[in-house]
Amino acid sequence: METPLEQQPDLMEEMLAHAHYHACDAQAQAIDVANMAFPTGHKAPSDEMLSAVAQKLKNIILGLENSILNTDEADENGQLVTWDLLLQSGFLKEAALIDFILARFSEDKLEAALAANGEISLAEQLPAQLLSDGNDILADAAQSMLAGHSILRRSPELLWRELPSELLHQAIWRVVAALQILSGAKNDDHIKRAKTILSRHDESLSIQGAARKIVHFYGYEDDGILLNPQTAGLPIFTAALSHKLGLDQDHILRLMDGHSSIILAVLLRAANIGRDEAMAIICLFKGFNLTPFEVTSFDNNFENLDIDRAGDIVTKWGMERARHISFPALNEAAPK
Amino acid sequence: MSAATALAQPILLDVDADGRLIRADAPILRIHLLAGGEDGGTLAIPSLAAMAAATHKFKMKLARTAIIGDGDENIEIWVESELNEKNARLKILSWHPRPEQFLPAKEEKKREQQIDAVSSRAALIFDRNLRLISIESNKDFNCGKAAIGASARDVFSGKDDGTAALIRAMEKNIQIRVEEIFIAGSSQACSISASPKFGKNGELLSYICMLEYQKSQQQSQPDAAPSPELFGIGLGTALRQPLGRIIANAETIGGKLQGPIRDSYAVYARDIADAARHLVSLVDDLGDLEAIEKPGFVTAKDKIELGDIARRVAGLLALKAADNHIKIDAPDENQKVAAEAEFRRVLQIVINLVTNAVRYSPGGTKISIGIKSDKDFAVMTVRDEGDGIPVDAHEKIFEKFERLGRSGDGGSGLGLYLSRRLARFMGGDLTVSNAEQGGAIFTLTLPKDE
Repeated sequence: METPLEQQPDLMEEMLAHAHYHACDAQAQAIDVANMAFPTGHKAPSDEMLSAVAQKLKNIILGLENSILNTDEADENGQLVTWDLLLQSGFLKEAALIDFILARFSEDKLEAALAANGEISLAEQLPAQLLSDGNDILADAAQSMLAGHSILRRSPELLWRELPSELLHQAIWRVVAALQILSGAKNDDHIKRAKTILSRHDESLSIQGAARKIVHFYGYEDDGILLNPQTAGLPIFTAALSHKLGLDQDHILRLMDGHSSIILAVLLRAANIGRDEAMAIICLFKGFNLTPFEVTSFDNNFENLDIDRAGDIVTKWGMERARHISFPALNEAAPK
Repeated sequence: MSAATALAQPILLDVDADGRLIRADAPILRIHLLAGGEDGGTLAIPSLAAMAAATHKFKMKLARTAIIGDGDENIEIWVESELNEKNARLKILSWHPRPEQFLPAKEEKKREQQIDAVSSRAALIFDRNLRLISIESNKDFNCGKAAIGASARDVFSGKDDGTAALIRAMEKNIQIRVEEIFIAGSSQACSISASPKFGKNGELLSYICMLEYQKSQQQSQPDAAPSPELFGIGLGTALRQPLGRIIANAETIGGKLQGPIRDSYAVYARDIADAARHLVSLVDDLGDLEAIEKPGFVTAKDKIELGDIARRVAGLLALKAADNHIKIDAPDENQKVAAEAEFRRVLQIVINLVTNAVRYSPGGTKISIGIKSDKDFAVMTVRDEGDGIPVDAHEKIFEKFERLGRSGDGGSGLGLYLSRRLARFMGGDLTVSNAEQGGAIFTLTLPKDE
């Protein structure tokens, strides 16, 4: 005969499962309410985020130093030469730079979610297909994008090549200036190399630049393909959303990676993506973290949210960001 | 809609470091000339000018989409640029007519006709982050809750399509006209014409919104400015409307909203706008003059507090004074003197007195507004630290059109005449004296509120 004690483990597991289920739901609801009540409230960064930001910043500075310094000038132990000075100068805390890094952090997470949930092979994705496209412009852009991805995976210190042009210009001359301060003298070699880097830099070869080009030449209205992240790939998907919504690509990445799937739902609604397609996209990026509350909220509200109203909300997000992100040192002159 | 088709041959243009179009293929040259540019002159296509400037500045190869206006049509293009010797060479690889989401081109003419039917009433200027930095409005325009520092989103609060379209256009730095929009805190619909203002290098400097009430609403406004006889038969309106358009057009030209122009021309345009503003204020003064001199003119007997009026005026004119490095001191909140007079007329007098003091005081000085109550009257004084007024001119300056030999300073010569007449209509007076330490003291007396 079974005793109540022998039944307890099963019961406990069931209760714990229920408790966990409801706790997740309550937490999601609390986050959504908090997001609505305090839209600009700051959230404490996770250790994972802090670590990724520091690593990516170091990669950028290391990559720039490697490109500017003579081989005999680099630190023997591979330490960053200009890090401390750049930190003291405040450059490493500049909003535009940190935003770029955080967007890369979001991009990594979204790429990982896509890879985990997507069953489509690379060869079936749009960039790979475009390689053999009869349109040379599309083929070249696709090649640039795939090459950019591949290079970054192999050599993360080349992340600086993906910096927006304005920021890259600023970063290079800050590194050159820091080197000059450290050595106590102007170094013509450094300046010459910096100028060479800039003159060789081509915006259309960056991953985001190539994605924008593909979206432009492929056709914005081909939503079925460009606005399907599974087949278009993340960069093209965000470039297509960016064009449609008038938001910066990095901003879209950060919004997509937000705590709640409701943010992504508003983006997709503003882009006039159908209900079923939107749910598929949300599941693709948020699948394992979606809670019953989020699913119910989507079911009840997605189609009731007016497209123009969604566009309005998205526009407001863009304006909020514009207040914080700028390139304050755009007028900084390069050394002669 | 089809994809952007790559051009068989790229369209090329070269732009020098000063923004001058050195050479261009026919399609771009045509649009440049259409936009008011000259052969060999500054490139008059803002998006391409900005890209050329960035290419010169960053010395990198840039690749971006851009939108250019071709008459009634917007064209979306893919542009790649690089430095070619001393010039930025821009290569246009696609040419893609784009439907205008916010302002159908075919509506343009109709809207211009509609705009002809209204007169400019307010100009709101936003910075590049779309924060309100300047408000200029006629006295009968209700700016609602629009306040310096507010975001465009807060200033235009409607949930309607027009507001959303306006905000999107502002964020994309493109020109837009919306026929019906509301300012937060005002229930009156107005039309808006909004344009970005770009700097020499094509960067966004500010966003200018010209707001106008619809004509039908202007006529039905219950609190519209009084229409004195001469001006009541339409002369005031007939003068204000063209002047309003002159100001708006001169501001548009001076702000380089339609493309770059020579700096000297921009200065001329601003001079034209300033002169037109002066004429508008003269028309306003003449309207008041006629009202005052009309038989049966009366003023209301409001219960007013002079300290409150002084602080309002100090707040209104603080920025203008700061421009001239002048400080305005107003009585603190604890000082109160009650009077019986028409609120807006007293405000008008004090604004006039303080504006004059700002205009004629040297930089680095102070204007003090004082209030007190004597045996018979409530008294307000406006004292400056300027040169003072010669004793023999103490009465003369209250005469009509008396400028004491000054000209070109924006005054009409009617302000003090009107102020004294108004003060006397309200049972008080306005006089002037010189302070012992220098400077003029204007003294406004009004009946006390017993």
